[in-house]
Amino acid sequence: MKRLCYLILFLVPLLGAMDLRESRHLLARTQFGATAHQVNLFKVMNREHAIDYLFSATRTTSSLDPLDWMLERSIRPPKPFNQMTQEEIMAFQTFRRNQMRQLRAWWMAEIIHTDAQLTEFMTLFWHNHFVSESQKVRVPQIMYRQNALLRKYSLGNFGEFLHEIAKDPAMIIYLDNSSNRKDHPNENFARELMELFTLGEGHYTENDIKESARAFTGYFVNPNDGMFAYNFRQHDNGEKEFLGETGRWTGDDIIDILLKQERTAEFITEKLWKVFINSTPDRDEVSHLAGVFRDSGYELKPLIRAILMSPFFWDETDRGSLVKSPVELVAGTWRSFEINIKDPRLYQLLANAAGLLGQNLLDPPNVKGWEGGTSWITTTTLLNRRRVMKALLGIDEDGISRINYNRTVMSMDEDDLNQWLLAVNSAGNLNQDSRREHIASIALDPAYQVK
Amino acid sequence: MKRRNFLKTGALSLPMLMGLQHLQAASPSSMNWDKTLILLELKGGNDGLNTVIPYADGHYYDNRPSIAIAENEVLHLNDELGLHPALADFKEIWDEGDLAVILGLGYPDPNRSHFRSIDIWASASDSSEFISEGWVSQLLAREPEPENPVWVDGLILGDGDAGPLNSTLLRTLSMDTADSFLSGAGDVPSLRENADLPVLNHLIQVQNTIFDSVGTLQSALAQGNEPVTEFPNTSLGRSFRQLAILLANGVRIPAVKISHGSFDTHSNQLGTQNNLLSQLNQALAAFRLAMIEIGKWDQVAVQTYAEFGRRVEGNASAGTDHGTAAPHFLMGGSVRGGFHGVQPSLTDLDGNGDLIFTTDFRALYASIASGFWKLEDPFDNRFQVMDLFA
Repeated sequence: MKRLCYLILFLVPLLGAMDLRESRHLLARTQFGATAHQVNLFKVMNREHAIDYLFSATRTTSSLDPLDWMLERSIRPPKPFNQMTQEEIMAFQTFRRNQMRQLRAWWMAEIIHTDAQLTEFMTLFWHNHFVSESQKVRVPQIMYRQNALLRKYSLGNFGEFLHEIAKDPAMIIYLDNSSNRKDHPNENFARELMELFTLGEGHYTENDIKESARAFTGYFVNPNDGMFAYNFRQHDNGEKEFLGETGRWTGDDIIDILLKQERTAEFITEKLWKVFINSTPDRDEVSHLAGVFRDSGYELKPLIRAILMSPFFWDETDRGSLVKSPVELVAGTWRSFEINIKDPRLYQLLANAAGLLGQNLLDPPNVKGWEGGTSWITTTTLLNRRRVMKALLGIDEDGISRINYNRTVMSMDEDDLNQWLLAVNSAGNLNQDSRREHIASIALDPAYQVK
Repeated sequence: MKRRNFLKTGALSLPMLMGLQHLQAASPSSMNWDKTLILLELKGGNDGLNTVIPYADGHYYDNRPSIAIAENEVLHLNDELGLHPALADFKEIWDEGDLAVILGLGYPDPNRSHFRSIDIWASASDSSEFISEGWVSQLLAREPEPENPVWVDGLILGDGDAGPLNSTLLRTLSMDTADSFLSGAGDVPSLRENADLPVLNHLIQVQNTIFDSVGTLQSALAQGNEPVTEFPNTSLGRSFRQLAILLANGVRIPAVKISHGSFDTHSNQLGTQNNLLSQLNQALAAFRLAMIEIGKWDQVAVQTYAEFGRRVEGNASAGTDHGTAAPHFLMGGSVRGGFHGVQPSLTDLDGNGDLIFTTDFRALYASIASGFWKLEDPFDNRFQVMDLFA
């Protein structure tokens, strides 16, 4: 009897267990790469268990400690700019750019080392949604604080997130909201709030932009500590008509009205579909998922869980339908092979590699963010992806990968190696003469670029 | 070496239907494949009013107290309009008759979103249409392949997307420099396409494009021709220099896309725009001299474009917000210099307080298609062709 119980306890989790391909798929779509060991670990779970496991590892703060300068309260330069010489100004700007580089490298280190992979995946997603560019924001502490905000709400409540991001100093600087004043409104933030953050084009009018811009007047950034500040004298508290509702709206009121629109949940759901599933969201399924999102009060975890449980996510014909972003390629390759190089410049180099491929962390190309998908691939970037893979895996002119691999990787079955690393069959012939040639030819095959 | 790719999956789309043209009995094409059109995107939406300046119009100064260019700094082109002071070489090129300024370019029902509007300009669509194929690709796809094939149909130099060269049919290539392209391309194998996996197939096609274009490029550059003219050491200058070297070695490319920017001057416009226009001025001046040097100035034309111009009224941050119509430049040895079109009114504005366009930008495209490339009935004759080429 006891034996039977043990047998049942052993077998229960195996009921509905995923296979190797499904396990790889789930991890590839929610993490930055995965080791062979992890893929094997997950394959004994069923889908729901596996997804629960992913959610159990999430965080709201980074696993790595911030660097000291990131926590400084003051953002004042050593002396006022108008008292600095040209040389002093340039030295200070160089100093700040160095800190920005350190922030970029620090984030790359977090992506690589954290167990909370889904958290970083979503933090990167939000960086590409609530875009700010370090070269316009310029103050490293302010960019760090935005990064921390994105992480805090990465899997949290979207409604609260939206309220917070509108007052985030990096966002205020980036979208010129501190120049948005009562007598001279600046529409940049209001426009992007609707076009890119909540509703998408076609769901509001130019007038809605003008009126809501007035509601956000008075926001500015304190030049001493870089925190949000409010100047009520610059705030236009007149009546505004926005999406059919009239009142003396403040910025928070505008956001509340936007959260009442059905379209908002759909817009966010569509965007998440495109990073998790494919580039062609199904209208009915999106409608259903958006309903889950709305009913939960805009909690992101239930939405993402529903997306990951959706039959569309698991559809086998969609394997390989997403292109790995540069960060996914670089960090994912590093993590998958557990490459073990201890060099203080490492994370900077990895971040630079992603930048070479078109994704410079902290600097999306414009307020719409990185377009993603097949736009990652041009003749220039495809050539550079090959270069980066050769560099990461030490692939020499004879097509042999020379870096150290652990025993699991060196001795696993050839088919298992392919199943672990590839979402679809390779486009070219793989050289399977030796393990090191096999890995090199996988890494240089276009199939390795998709997930 | 397949120039066009007829994808076997999915429904035929308009560009593919146009691409079938080449299967018809050889109708003689008038397309001149030896010419090169350079599409120069002024990313972010250049402020037209501070570029081609209505210095004699008081309303210009009334609307922009903090950013209007002083009259005595404007480079007068006629007694109403002049150029931004950073464009000193453009003024000389104007005097030589090689610079055309097309005024008030825009389109009905203008969109003020960067992304939407640049797609409209790139695809020559109406404001409410969504077309992904670039306007140049649409035109070229209709034409049968030349006997002596070109190297690639479209080249994107430096950063920036394909825009007018966006295509599922034509062979387009992007690169920073020929050296960086060739140094990585040597060991790239060609692969068989896989129509069942469209995303992977895109990568395979890109890889095959690399494979197909390496040989021709290597042979051409082996000739080692290089114009003596010096180019400014800016990103724009380097792209134009690379193009000059390709052309000097006989590489044939009908269309090239280069980007410059960002002109999205919501704040502190004066410094930014001055900088960018200076770079533009120097790069194009050098390019022109290099083309004259190698005897190809008549065979090239440079056309600027952008998603929109900017608002008449300045904003509170010494900048301007998204607007509508703007003037653009067309420069080349065969260009008929001078003003074309009508300067928009600064007082008779649209409901948003923005300029009302006076020339549909697609008329500019149609004029280039017929005057430069010698194509017949571009865009089904929907737009008025201007006399822009000698």
